[in-house]
Amino acid sequence: MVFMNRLRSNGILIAIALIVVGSSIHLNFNPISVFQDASNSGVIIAELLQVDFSVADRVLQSIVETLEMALIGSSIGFAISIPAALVASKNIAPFYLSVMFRGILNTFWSIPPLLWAIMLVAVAGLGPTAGIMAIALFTIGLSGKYLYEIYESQNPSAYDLIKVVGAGRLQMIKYVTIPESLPFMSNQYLFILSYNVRESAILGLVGAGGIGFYLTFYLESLQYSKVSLFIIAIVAVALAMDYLSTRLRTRLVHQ
Amino acid sequence: MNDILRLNDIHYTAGKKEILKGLSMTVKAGSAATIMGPNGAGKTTLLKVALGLLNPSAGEVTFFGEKKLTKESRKNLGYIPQNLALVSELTVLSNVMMGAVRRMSTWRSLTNSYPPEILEEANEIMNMLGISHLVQTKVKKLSGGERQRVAIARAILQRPSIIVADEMTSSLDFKTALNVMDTLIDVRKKMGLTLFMTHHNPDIAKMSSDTIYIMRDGAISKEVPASDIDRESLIGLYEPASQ
Repeated sequence: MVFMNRLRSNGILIAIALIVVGSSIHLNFNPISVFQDASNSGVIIAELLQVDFSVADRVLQSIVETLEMALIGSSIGFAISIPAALVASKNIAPFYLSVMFRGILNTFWSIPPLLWAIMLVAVAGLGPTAGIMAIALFTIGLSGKYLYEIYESQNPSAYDLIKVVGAGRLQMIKYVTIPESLPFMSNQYLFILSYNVRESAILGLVGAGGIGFYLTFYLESLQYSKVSLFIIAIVAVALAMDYLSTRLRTRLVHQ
Repeated sequence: MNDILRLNDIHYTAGKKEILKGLSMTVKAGSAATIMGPNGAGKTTLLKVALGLLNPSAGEVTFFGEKKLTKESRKNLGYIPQNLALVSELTVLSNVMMGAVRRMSTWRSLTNSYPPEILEEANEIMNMLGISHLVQTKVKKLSGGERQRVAIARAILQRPSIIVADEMTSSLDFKTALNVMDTLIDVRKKMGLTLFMTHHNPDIAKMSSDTIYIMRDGAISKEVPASDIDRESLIGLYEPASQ
């Protein structure tokens, strides 16, 4: 039995290794090529290291815009995901509705924010509106999926009890589902906000507003010394958001 | 005495495992019946089948003379599950009020605008159980004994004629368990309630019951007066029958 288990896990490892090697050959993956034109890389790195502070006001303005996009998109998306996840929960909604809403949430989740942004820029035009909507739609999918799993896994005996006392669906949601899920919901909101700040930073690549817009502009015009400050700002904001959300989540857990 | 609950040749299968195997028993109105048995005997499953939370694969459950637990018959039923099913993020009052949701409109229960007469009744019950000072405290901040009392208050507010309780003192130390059971016995006397419980502790079972049903391997193997139960006799009763 032990021998069979070991054989099985070794077989899985070998299969994964074979797939990785096969995929690399299929894609002509060659990491050495990055270092082949070392002089070019050296020039870019040297320019990146000469940080140009003349764009500081633009960095600040675009960082604020990025944060605002993430905050608005995450809040709208999260607010919609709460009732959407209720309808997707098998223990709350009728079976056909939950299957339908699960399908919708999974579709929203499977489309990355950048792809949403490309489609929305075509519809809503260049600027933060497309970015905010992309963030919101992705958040509906990601948070909705997380929340219906939370709603379904909470305190099964409380659901039994609420059935025994003869409560309706709305009362079940009010007395059991929402209060039992509240700590997880606030955690999820902070997580998605911090995640979306990073996502918003790249939406500008396709013209959907935020810091990515300037980043693309300076990269394409080969002004690497101006790019540095934007990269530093993105890293600083991402780290700050991560730190803040971790602190807040810890506080919420101990409340 | 009338029968409140009658289980006739109940079978319940989960997956490939048969948990209840032709179980039959009756709970009389005003009595205090306790199911005892080793872990895995099927005690919790039996209560869930009785409450209509699980459908038996064969056999018949009659509650208040009806073959199906209707909205009307549920009104007579109070339930205290094994882990109490309290919502820890809600206050004591909100948890207790869960017991009265079917007696108020959905709007009132959703907006916490409880009818004054139900609020008064809840306050009286909490007062009787000694938890009226905790009304606005969140349940997650309560001790084990206080939580048990909240669960009892919620069950009483259902205005039941029977309380079904599943190992409700299992997580308590013996002294607190005795206090909680004293409270429940007191309530039973005042309100003329029927109790249908499961317990592991023979002392708790003895003090709170009239009749003890020994359950083994998915069926009732023996019915004994509570006064005849002690730790030694219980060990004998839990032993599998010799082949």
